[in-house]
Amino acid sequence: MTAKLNEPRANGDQVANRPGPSADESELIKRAQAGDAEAFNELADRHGSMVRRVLFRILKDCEQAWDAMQEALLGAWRNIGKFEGRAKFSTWLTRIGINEAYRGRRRSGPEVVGLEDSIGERVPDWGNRPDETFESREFLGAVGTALDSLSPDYRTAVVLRDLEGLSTRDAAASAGIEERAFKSRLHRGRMALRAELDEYFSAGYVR
Amino acid sequence: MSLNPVKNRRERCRAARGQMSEYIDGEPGPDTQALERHLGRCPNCRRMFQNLSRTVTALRSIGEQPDLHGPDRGTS
Repeated sequence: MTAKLNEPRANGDQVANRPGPSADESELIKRAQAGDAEAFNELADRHGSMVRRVLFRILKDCEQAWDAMQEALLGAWRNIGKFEGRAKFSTWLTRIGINEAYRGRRRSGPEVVGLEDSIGERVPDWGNRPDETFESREFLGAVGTALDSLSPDYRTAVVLRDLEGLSTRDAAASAGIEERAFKSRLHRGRMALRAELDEYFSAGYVR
Repeated sequence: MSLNPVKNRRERCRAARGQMSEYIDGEPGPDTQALERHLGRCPNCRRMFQNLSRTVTALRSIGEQPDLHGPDRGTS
């Protein structure tokens, strides 16, 4: 019996984080490459949630993130035959998603954050606050707000490496740049965040 | 010939700061000992390292808390 192929569901969130089925991922990829939409949907379910979070952080807009996710999944479905397995499937899908997120946005490269400006200036002391201060929702909220203020390239690097916990190698591949360049981008993004948070402390927003 | 001591110190600060992220990630660069030595001597860079570490720890914490890390549900 030849099953009628369905279009993939293109949502990738409904059963994210559930325990994975017994089917090995490479087997799912082979089946998807042979045109099995259910196998592709299973892959999307496994990894869609993470990709969607990354897209939301880049775009800062639920609807745009949703649209980019839909396009990414459709693009992945159409191009699954070209997936060679040199990277993880999740990395490949994230890369497609990030491309969709950037589609239409001007890619002029990240605004260069100067790391040397403050050399010789006194670095603000965040004080002898208890550890709880830095675990509080107030502080984490300030970090999240500062993250949203970063330029997209820096924000993407920080989200992939720190929020999603990808390895440097996978995060760089997801961002589509070399590891060395990724590390530089990540460091500059983190330093910009730290500088932004200095303002929160000096203004007394975080006690 | 010795370098200008102020310039020399700034160079050490610049080199140390450039390695901080890799050090935090456990991917130390080629001169980890110099970084550690500098952090022991330079209170300014030590504060920067502490603040950067707290920033990275907070980012990782956000990533572990779905309600802080953006919508985890579909928007349709």
